[in-house]
Amino acid sequence: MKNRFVFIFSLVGGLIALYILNSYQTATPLVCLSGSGCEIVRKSPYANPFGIPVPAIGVAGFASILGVSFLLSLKTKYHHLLTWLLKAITLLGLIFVISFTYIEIFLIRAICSWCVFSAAIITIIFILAWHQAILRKLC
Amino acid sequence: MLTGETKFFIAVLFFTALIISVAVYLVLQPPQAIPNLDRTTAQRLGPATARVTLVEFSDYQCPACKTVSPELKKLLAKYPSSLQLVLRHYPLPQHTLALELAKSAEAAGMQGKFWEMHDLIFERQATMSAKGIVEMAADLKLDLDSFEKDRRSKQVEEKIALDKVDALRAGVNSTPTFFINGYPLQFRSIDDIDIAIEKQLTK
Repeated sequence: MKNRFVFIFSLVGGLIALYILNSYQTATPLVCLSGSGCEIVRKSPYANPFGIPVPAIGVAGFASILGVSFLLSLKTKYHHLLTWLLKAITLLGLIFVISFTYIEIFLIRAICSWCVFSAAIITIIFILAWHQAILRKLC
Repeated sequence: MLTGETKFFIAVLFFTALIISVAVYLVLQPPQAIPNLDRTTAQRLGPATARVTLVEFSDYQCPACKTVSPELKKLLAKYPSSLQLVLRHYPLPQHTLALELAKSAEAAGMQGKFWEMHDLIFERQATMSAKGIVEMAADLKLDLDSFEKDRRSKQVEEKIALDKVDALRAGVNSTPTFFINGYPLQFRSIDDIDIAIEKQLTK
């Protein structure tokens, strides 16, 4: 059941990241719940680490979670390996959003509502992925 | 065999793709030309046969409208056979004399001197006063009795009211706002207009 939530959340996260990536590429204005925050973050030098736009990293991250979640649903013989792969990706994702949120607050000094939303989604997925493992350990 | 969960995922992906395709299709629809931007009664410069019609919503106390006015004349000179300028009024409520000035220009127009009045208003924009309106009419050698009567007439009032209605329907909320062949034009500098005209002419 938890895998269904992982799937849905990663789909939502991926779509948000795609929307933002599209606006990065076409330089169209973003709908932003935190006022001018999204534009400030987008125009900051931190928005393109190593030349890769942050939303592209988001698209790749969510797409890989989506893919692994789909493969998990097939209940193949690689199930155990895939569970660990999911955990590894979500851990990386969590580290990434924590660092990016830190950069937003302390270095850019602006908050982008979409980033917060994505960070919340990745945190939920992380908990879902690791919670399952912890439960299994306990039982 | 696919598990129930896999089937569920495939269904979710299918519907997401469907919704996105519909949304993208709707977004990519070409916008409809805005109706009633041009009215036969509106003041205009340039030939009626021109391929490009540029509609400007203007306010006589707006500094940007003043700045752009001579630039528009230059564009008319640059495209003598292919550009027509249609001037419509959008006197902003915060500009206390703007409505009176629009009426005065229309009243001068009834004596065949709309554009002379138009240019004179912008020339004296910085020092404009209610008294200045009559002075301008006198300087343009207008028949002052008719001018006074016309600028208070129902005809002029209704004409400007219609301009405002058409402006609001077209989504105008600031001046100057331009429309080129029925579509909104992003205006930051006169070059934007020039580029848009070129684009229309190469279509």
